[in-house]
Amino acid sequence: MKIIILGAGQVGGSLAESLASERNDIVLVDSDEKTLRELRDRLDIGVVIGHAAHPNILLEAGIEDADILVAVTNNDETNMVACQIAHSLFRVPTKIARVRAGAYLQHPQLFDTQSIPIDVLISPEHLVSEYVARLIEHPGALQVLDFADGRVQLVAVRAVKGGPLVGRQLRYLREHMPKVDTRVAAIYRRNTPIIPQGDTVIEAGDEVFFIAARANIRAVMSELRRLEHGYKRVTIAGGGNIGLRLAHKLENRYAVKIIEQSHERCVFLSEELSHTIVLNGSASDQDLLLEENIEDTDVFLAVTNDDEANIMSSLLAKRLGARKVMTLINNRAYVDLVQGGEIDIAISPQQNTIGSLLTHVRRGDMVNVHSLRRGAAEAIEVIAHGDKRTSKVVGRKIEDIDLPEGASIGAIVRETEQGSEVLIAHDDVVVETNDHVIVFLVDRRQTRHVEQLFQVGFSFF
Amino acid sequence: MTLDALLSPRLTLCHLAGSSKKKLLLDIAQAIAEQYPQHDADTIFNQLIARERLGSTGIGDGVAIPHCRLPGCERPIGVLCTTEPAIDFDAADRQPVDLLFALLVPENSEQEHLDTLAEIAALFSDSRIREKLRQARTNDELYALAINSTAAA
Repeated sequence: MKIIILGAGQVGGSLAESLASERNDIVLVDSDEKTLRELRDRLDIGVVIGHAAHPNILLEAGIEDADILVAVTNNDETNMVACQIAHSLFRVPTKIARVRAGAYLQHPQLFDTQSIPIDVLISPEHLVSEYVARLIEHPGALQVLDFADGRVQLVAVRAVKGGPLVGRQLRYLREHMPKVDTRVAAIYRRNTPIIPQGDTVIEAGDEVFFIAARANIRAVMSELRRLEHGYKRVTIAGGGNIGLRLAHKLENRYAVKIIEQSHERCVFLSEELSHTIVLNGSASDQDLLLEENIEDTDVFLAVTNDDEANIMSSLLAKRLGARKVMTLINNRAYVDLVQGGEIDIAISPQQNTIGSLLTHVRRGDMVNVHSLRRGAAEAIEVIAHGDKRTSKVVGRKIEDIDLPEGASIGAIVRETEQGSEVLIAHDDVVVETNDHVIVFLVDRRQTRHVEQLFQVGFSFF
Repeated sequence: MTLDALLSPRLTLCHLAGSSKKKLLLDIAQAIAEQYPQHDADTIFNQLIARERLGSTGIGDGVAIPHCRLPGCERPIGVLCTTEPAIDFDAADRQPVDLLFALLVPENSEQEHLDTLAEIAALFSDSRIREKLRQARTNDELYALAINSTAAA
């Protein structure tokens, strides 16, 4: 496929990197020659220097032949205009744009073929706040990903001594919790993936990925580690876009405090928020943290736009007794540095954004693609189409589906007249047309194979 | 349904200068809309693209048979074209495509469409016919060759 990416920033660059390895024709457009040159030397991509929304520049990038346009420059207006031009002049089938400003996002009716033709809007702030909110909902989880509008979740959790399943074979789970259905999709032991079998023994320290209906997540987690108390008190460092969104989302269920440096912004925050306590000051001010009883905080979230400030204030909060700290980090090198140390969870906006971009770039009817373990693994939700004749999946039992090594089906979500039904993938479940199938891939290089598996045959209408 | 009922000389396009799958499908959609003004080129294009996204209609040996249903369409419409040069169509055998038959059908009568599709595929499975069609130099020549091939087959 031919994909044009506008903007060679963090997201544009990582997306190009991720896609260049998948038999795609990628052209990256940016006005900054130096960044482009650096990326072109490293990756097998084409580059064009110039203003990303100008028709002549888009033509030079080969827009007439493009299947997908991804507009992720740091300017909302450029992204929107580029999509408009891609539609009006070149009929690009799929147009994806990052739009940040709430002033635009408040009016979803702006973004359709009749007005500003954007097929998929990406708002990193929105993705990150949803992600953090899910982590807070499941204390102890390292990662929580939604499928089928949150009916099914994939959760990563570290197995800890004392969990009933730790030191036992996986099949014991079924005996111990006959009423709760789940499937362990992968286990990472000292960073190496293990394909789980019934006789695999869970060890303390294993990072376990399991899939279950949302209502069962807590029960499954309790098998792997002692359950933590739910969180009550949340402190947010940074009252920017993400901080405000999070406070909004959380303030009705948790006692939320937000620390913000700018007095003006504090005034705005207090007007916008109803239950949140707004504090004017610096999150790395030890006296302020102590005064606000940081030792009673269940979760400290550092979400300013400054990586270093986030890391330092998180370390300080942890030292002063905050139970969990989660830290927003843009620089990918830092994520690896701090994760698993004092900082409990490092949140990478790029990883979140990339997944949601990949959803629309992949072949097949993808609903969700989540990039995991720094892009090495992937979890996807894909809709099966066709019938026994035209599909390699529909009408077959899961055990008879020719999945590549390292890929496993975790669950199926099926719409029935009674509403939607979550089926955990056991060998004898038969896939039906229009099923949402959730597949876990230990090795992202198998993605192409899985895409092909779900493609319909030639005679499908 | 025989080929001469599907095809028309005006929708037989020889040596289309295709540079990509997307451009080619757009050209085909626009050619159809020109002949049948009741159909909108964007709708045809979107339907064809949506079908390709679920799986390529490139069947190998340089042949593709893109097809889809078209709302408001009363009888099947066919477009035959050759391209110069061949283009990447994401085909099963990864070979570029230079011989296409696009088929748009009404929204009902499932079995009939499958039969039509099978007939077209059968025609292109004959390597002599493929070579003959590829050698056509004009639209008229391509049309005549196609019609005669079915008559002979």
